[in-house]
Amino acid sequence: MNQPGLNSGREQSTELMVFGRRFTINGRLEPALENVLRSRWDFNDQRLGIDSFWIRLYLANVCPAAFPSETVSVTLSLPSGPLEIRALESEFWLGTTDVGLHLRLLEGGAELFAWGGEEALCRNQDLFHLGLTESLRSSGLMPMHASIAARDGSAMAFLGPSGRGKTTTLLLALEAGYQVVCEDLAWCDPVTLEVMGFDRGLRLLPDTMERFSALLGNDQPVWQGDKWFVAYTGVLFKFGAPSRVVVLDSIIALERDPDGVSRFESLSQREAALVLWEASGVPLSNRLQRQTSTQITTLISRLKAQRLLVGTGTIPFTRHED
Amino acid sequence: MNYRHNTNIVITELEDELVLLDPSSKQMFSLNAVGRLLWDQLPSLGLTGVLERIEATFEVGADRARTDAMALIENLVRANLLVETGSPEPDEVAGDRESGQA
Repeated sequence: MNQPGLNSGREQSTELMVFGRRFTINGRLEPALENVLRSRWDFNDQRLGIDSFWIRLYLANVCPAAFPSETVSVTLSLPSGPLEIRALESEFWLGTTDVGLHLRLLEGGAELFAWGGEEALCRNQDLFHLGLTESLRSSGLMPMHASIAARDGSAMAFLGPSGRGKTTTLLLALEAGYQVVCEDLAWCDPVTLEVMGFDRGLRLLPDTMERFSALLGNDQPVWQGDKWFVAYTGVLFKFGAPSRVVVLDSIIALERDPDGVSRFESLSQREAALVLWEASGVPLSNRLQRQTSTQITTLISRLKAQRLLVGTGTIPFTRHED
Repeated sequence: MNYRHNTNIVITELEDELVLLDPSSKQMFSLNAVGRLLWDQLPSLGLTGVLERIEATFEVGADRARTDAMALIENLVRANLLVETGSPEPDEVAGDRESGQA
């Protein structure tokens, strides 16, 4: 599809695969922006669920058309600043006429039109994250903010708000013999229960880095301003390389109990639904909100759901499995 | 008063319970079996009808059913999950007078 205002420079097409979905980038893709997109979204070697879904991104220097006036507008608060979103049922305009993204969710695929030029788009990576996240949701996947550990191809996801101890619990699981799947974000196919880590490494606070340094091998970590980044590739994990695609077996809601002994308890369906909604986030599209609701109901009916109260002593990962 | 669901609410169905999510505020609410019956049937049966259904299904007295239901409805309306759509039913007004509610 062509829209007025698309980059008139040398046409080129770049293709990535995102969990088996063909992601085509059309227009002038400068090296810095290509690096941004590849570093986050190139998952050429792994598939999740159906693979006929397509995503097409068109790059332009200027906004191709005026924003429609009949849209509903909301402002999201993101770490990078406020982002205005205008929505119709399956169409979204993110950002401004200076730098922004237009997303169209279609049958079997998604089209994204981004404008603003390379430098501005590199500074506003949230546009791509939101647009591609909504596209992947539309393809049947569900994002899950969680740390996930696996053993023998079967995984448990630790869920909870920021600061609840997801990373530390993950590292304790690694000490107990599990492999890392992800530390922050995974994508899940609720039909097959397969999950795949989205992040490319561990991001650790200095004290966590020091506490678990013996676990992480010999690669040099990279300081990223607030945390140490330890890439999964090349890291010599104590009990084997990271697992990427595994089957989710259980969800575990994390809570702190500093005065008690670390232990697993049962989790009600209602509590499981609440933590899964928090982990997934709310899609932009009404249709995808309903889809996520169905996916959460499916996951709750098929997964073990427990609460892990993190207190004193060793976390009984083995007893949990029994 | 008649009520309808806020059509923007996302409902997650569990075995006996419902989880209601307001996408605009990101707030989540859960309803137990009694609350679920009220949520499912209030728009079609009206308050009088749903109170009768609650009394019959959960074997509670009329006063208890009315008190609990009105408190839940008030919370659901305040949370913008339920929307008031019309005048009270005649029976409802009489019931409110009998129970001392405004």
